[in-house]
Amino acid sequence: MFKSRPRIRYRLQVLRHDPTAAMGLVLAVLLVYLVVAPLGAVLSDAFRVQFGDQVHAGQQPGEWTGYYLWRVFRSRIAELIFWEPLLNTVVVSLGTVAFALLVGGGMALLVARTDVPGRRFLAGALVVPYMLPSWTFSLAWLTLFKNERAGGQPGVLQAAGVRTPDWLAYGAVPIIVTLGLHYFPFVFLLVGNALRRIDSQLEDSARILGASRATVLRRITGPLLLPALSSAVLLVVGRVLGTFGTPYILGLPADYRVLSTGLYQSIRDRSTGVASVLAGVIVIIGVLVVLVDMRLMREQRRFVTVGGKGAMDRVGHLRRGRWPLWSVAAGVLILSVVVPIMTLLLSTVMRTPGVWRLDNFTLDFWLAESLPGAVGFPHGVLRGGELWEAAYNSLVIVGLASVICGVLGLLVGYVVVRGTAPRVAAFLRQVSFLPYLIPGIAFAAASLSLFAVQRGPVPALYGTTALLVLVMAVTHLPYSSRSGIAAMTQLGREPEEAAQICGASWPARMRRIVFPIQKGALVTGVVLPFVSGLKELSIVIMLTTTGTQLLTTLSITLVDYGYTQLANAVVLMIALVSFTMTYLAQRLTRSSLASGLGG
Amino acid sequence: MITLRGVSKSYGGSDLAVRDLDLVIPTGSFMCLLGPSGCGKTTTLRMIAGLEQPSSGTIEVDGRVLDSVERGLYVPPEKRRMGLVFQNYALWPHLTVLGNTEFGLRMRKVPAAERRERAIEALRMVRVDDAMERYPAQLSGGQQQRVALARMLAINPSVLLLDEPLSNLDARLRLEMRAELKRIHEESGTTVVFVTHDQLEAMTMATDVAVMEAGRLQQVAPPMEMYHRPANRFVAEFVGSPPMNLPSGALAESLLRCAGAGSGVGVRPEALRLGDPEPGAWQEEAVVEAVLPAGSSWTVRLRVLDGELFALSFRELDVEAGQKVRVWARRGQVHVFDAEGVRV
Repeated sequence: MFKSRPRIRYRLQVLRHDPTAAMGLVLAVLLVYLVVAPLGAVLSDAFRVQFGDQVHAGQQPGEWTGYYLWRVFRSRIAELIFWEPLLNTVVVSLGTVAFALLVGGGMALLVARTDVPGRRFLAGALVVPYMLPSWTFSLAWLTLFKNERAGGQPGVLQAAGVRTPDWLAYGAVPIIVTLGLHYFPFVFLLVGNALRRIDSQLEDSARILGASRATVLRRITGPLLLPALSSAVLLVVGRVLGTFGTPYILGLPADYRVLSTGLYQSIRDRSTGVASVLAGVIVIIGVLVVLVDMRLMREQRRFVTVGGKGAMDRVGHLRRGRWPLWSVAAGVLILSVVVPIMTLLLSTVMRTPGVWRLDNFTLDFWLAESLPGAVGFPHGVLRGGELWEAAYNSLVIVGLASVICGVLGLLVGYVVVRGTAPRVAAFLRQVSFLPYLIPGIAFAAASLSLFAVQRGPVPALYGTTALLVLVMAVTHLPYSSRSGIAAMTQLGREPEEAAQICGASWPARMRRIVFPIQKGALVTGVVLPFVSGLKELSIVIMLTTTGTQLLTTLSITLVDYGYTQLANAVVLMIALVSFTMTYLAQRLTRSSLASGLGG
Repeated sequence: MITLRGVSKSYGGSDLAVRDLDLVIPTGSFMCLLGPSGCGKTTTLRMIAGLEQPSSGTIEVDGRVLDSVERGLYVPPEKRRMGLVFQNYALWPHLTVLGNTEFGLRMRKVPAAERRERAIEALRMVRVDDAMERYPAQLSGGQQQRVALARMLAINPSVLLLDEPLSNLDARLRLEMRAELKRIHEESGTTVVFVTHDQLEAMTMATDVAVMEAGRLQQVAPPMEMYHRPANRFVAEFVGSPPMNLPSGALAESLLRCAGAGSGVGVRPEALRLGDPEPGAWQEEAVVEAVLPAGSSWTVRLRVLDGELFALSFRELDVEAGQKVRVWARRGQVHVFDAEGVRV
């Protein structure tokens, strides 16, 4: 025993001079609190009687209960609050996947493997739909196809005298099409990357052995693409699972509910127990989806090797099919970018949709000082304080969250790469990745469970900016910690060790060596979450109150009021900002959207 | 003088990266830690630098205890006043050559004017003072290597540690840098500890060589002594190129009959000669299997009894494949090893 005391003193001396291990521990505790604790809280809420439910549950508040499980899965309303939304979620997911596969996969093949005109342009332009907020498309859809079932301005077709049937205006079909238009770039990018990465020698060998180009595609390229395809499928499913805006806008008028909107509804109804169970279900499905995906990704790595040199001509010559196929691609581009944007834009400058008379055009919805009839928002969007306040809130909240996220990500990378505490490092790597498994809306619900009431020294954070910042930072942490780890790994620990040898203390090394060298990585780690955070809706919709309106929630509020033109105007603003930021970010950080796909 | 006493290092597993190392490195010497990759030589170097901590044992420099696990003493790397040149140089990409070289002096709060003067002096010593305002990315590999060296020379370290600094250079530059390092060592008088897996590098530059294998020290000796009197089979095989012949079977027995009792035997290629043997030498009938001329030397592969031997000659050999020759070696040049592989 007495022998080990100097050893401990020795260890302590080492730790005192290198705070990495201590920093790792602090980070680990922090992340457990921000990532793991909310999940624990939401699980515990699902199994405990909530205030107000004593009579129904027949138990005292706080007691353990299976009441909410029964209510969600087996009671008379289970059909309404769970099974139907679950079925709808499955239908929407599968439909969106099919749509995205067809469009995205087809476009990928066309751009990567044929001599269709304007390939470079198409490769960039077909990604644009993903840079727009996902519910841009649903607002455009509503503007076109809305019928009298919902209040407010009539749709363009209805104004023209065409009565659009409900199934075309609301519910599964429009949700699938609009989500499909938003998510096909996912498939386009993943499959396109895979097509480029397949070792051309594999295909060349088949050609040399006598296979035709078509046979090669069917028997060699196709099977090699399978992992990329399944990965794309699962990613889209995971996204659709947690998406809120589109099913809310297009589903609500027809009472078409999916799990995410059901969760939102339960939270708004203050049925915390039910909401917790729903959040739990979404978390479980989300985790399963990503775990399956990770398994497949491993297979893919085993499968597809980085391409060799000089391939045979891999580009299929379309000859007479060149221009017809080009027009198909152009059509996709028009339908997914031009039509939605133009629809929204036109709707904001016309009093009555679809009436092409000069006196029907107006800038009132943008500029008017007062708009009679719009009680909740009685002026043009650029007037009054609301838009600017929301923009300011968005900027501050998303900005703060991104900075926190970027710094945390780099610190996680630092601790992981320094390797002074391997076990802490491994734990950090995993726990910072955990939010990736959880659809944002469920994570927001979980955070509400934890932070809605005062717990110990932490005050109730519901409705505060702090909560928004925290949750947004945590949900984007997987991306920035991954890029932080990558950046630190690439740098290695030697530059810092060299400074240490030269006599630099830890603060001096961080200030003069590590941070200056990692400036670029830090910018990336901040900018990517910022860009995706600006158009984030699913998370913030759960957490904002009227006091803290963001751009995204403001547009939903306007949708709720039925002020179509105003809502469209706000979404256009978001789309403009989001597109510009994404474009600039790509230029600035020289990262492609493909690498930041998760965001 | 650097003293390592009972130094062991474990990375958590049952295997020790370094086990029970006792090593004394005299002041002003050029000590080479030589061994195959994974033998613990770099770990030893990093422990001397303080970048890694021994699991047990003591490290002292000139009587100052830097690490003593048993007494709970530890001096962090930034206070050890040593220099370390990394294998990949680890230059700071955001600082110029001058900025890199001045950094250590800045950390020591040396005034700006003197700092600049001393940095330029160090750069002049390694002959890159014409590229002071450039960034590392704009330098050639050889220049980067020199800046990495200048950066450490600038702080005038009592001990200069070099971790395979030449392995990323091409053959020509490596030859040049070997001579440079030797010159700089002689000019500065600093104690140098040099890690390499290249026995030629160790032989050509070091004043002392320490051979390690699997975390254990095998032998410490001046290079020529190590070459002529290897402590055991491992050192005998590792030091020298082409490596020592270590035959078995009837060929080994034939050599042992001449050289003395033992259970293993080795003979260097250059100790083998062809033609008429001296009296009392070991000799045997051989068949030439292949002749490999290399300009300045000739290597011949011989089939002898049930085994084969490589012979090296620095004079042109007038033999061809298939020819029968007599091969012989002086008795004193045949090394005999006991059952543990220790040289007898």
